[in-house]
Amino acid sequence: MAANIKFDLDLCSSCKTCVDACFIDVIRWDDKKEQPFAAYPEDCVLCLGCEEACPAQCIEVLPAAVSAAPQ
Amino acid sequence: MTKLEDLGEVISTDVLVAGSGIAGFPAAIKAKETSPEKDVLIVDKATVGWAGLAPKGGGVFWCIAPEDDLDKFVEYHVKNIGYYLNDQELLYLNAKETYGAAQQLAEWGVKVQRDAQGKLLTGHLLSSRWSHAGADLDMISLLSARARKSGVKLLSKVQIVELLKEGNRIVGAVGFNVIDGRFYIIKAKSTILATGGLNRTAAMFTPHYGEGVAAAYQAGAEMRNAEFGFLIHPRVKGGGNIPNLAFNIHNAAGEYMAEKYMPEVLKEEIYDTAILTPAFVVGVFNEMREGPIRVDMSRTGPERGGPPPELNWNRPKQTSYFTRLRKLSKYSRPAPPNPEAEIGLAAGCSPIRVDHEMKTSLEGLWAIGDTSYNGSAWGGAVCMAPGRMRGSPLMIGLLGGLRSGPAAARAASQAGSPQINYDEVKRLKDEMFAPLQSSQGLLPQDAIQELDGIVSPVENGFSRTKDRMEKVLSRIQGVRQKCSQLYAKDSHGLMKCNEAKSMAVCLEIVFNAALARTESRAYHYREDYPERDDKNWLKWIIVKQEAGKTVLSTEPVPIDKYKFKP
Ligand SMILES: Cc1cc2nc3c(=O)[nH]c(=O)nc-3n(C[C@H](O)[C@H](O)[C@H](O)COP(=O)(O)OP(=O)(O)OC[C@H]3O[C@@H](n4cnc5c(N)ncnc54)[C@H](O)[C@@H]3O)c2cc1C
Ligand code: SF4
Ligand code: SF4
Repeated sequence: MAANIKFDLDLCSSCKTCVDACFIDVIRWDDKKEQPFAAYPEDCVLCLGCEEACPAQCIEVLPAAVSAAPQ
Repeated sequence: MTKLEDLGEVISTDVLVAGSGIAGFPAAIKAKETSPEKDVLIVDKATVGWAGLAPKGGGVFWCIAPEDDLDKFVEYHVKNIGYYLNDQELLYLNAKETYGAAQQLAEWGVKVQRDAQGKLLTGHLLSSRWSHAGADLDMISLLSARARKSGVKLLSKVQIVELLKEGNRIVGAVGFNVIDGRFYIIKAKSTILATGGLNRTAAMFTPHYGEGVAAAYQAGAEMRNAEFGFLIHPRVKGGGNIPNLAFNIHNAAGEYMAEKYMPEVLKEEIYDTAILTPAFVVGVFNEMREGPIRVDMSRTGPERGGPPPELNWNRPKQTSYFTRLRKLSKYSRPAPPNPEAEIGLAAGCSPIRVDHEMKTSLEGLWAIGDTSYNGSAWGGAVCMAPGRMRGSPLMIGLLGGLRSGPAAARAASQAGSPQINYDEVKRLKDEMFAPLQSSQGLLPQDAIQELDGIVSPVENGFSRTKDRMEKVLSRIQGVRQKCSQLYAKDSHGLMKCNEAKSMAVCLEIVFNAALARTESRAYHYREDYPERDDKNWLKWIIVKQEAGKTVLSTEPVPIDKYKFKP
């Protein structure tokens, strides 16, 4: 499986919760930029655990082939 | 002088718990609370407190209520679910302890559902004969908080790769940090494996490549009931999700398959895919060979799965998470009307053999939760979790944790300080990090895909013959050998390498056991031995590794001392 993992960094509070919440190490922390990034999106299993955990609700995970959620 | 410290980070603990799910946490908390003077460390390759399957699951667990009939439960389970390969004593013990275990969970702060008087809220789900209870999905984070408060130490993002041995005793484990690649040597007087089994049911079972199982096997631990591990279920051919479709299948002649092959289940109005009988699965499989089988949606059973209204569960986390998951259905291809169906299967196993305190055949090693769901034999000849009883995995994990924690802590009091051999650790380290030395070869994802491809065709994984299984086994062994060519760019890739290797080892265990069992029982279906053979096969098959070689033996089920006999 693979995913398109988007972070709305304007809303992100740099809390790192998403790094902890991802149980298979897809999301990593960029120490320099102090923000999360999808390091291994090809391994994402679309469990949506990161979306659910993000206190700022600024993560959107979509299947790799999809670029935006349907309206 | 060579020092272990030169090789990596050395940690010493009395009790090491590998895996921080619904099995690992109760083990760690109970070990610490019963022996506060002992050091207890819980390690996970993910983040402790977030890891494990429980936060992603249904949160429903098996809980025999005081008003349930225990004998009836055990009798049904032995006759119709485990087919007499159960350890009936453990089955009784588990059933008796479910209610107290649920109360313990609640005492630790988990939001177990209660009624207005504070009593555990139990009830029969629409699909089930037995009582269940429920908890909200934040159970792991709450257990983590409790563990921390009790003084359990937590170590995240460290993948355990091999167990350390001193003679025949397990004295800890080695692994590495999946972020920065640091090597860890964990010396432990007692080690509890709670790392899950091999489970290829669905993507969300992804951390389940059976690493703990493979490590235990390679250290010489006995495996039991491995041949039954695979989960078999009908599905839409070509993809598309139809809930409960097993109860809507018709053969080419229009006959209703559930009525033809499991009328007893229909009569009781149980519409639960976990309850699909082997007669039904084999029947449908054989019908498929005569002509296409189809899903006819005009025939539907009652809605399944949710709690009955009187349970009135209030689980905001579960509601929120499952609502979110629903968005994904927008992207999956809808099934066409009345589509063709087929038998699907998911590879898996959880075969570490344990006794009633969850101790393995090796000194110093316990195995709980999905590592030993089959190997403990409480459920008999069932597939991996959930076996054939919904809600059993969470409860089995919890019970195993509650028992193994105090036992492991007690044993740590008797054990001397582990003596770890430097050369052995150096060898393990070199082997573990070898994939980082190459820039080409086999990618772990490709090895996993190849293994899936070998075992997932129904004629390889489910409908078994000697010839086909020998071929399958030799192909699995081929992949296992090729694993020496695995390469990884970084420590994340190294983690995947260990997952691929472990999966190959687990599948080898399954097919060695399946070849040995020359009869059909439960979902282990042999075309060349289609009948159940109680005369010759009321036996457990034990698989273990000795000096690098697979050794198989059988052990009679002590049926004479059990209450229920064929
Ligand atoms: C969608 C879904 C719904 C479910 N619904 C239910 C339900 O309603 N009721 C029920 O009873 N069961 C349910 N289950 C099954 C149940 O959740 C699991 O069987 C159970 O949680 C397993 O517990 P465990 O502690 O044995 O393993 P896990 O929860 O998988 O924990 C194992 C831990 O070990 C870690 N680990 C693995 N390998 C290593 C390693 N090499 N080194 C270090 N750490 C490692 C993993 O990261 C993981 O955290 C469901 C599962 C899913 C996915
Ligand atoms: S959806 Fe799941 S697997 Fe994918 S990045 Fe988020 S937490 Fe990780
Ligand atoms: S959880 Fe949300 S707010 Fe926190 S770091 Fe991740 S994206 Fe940012």
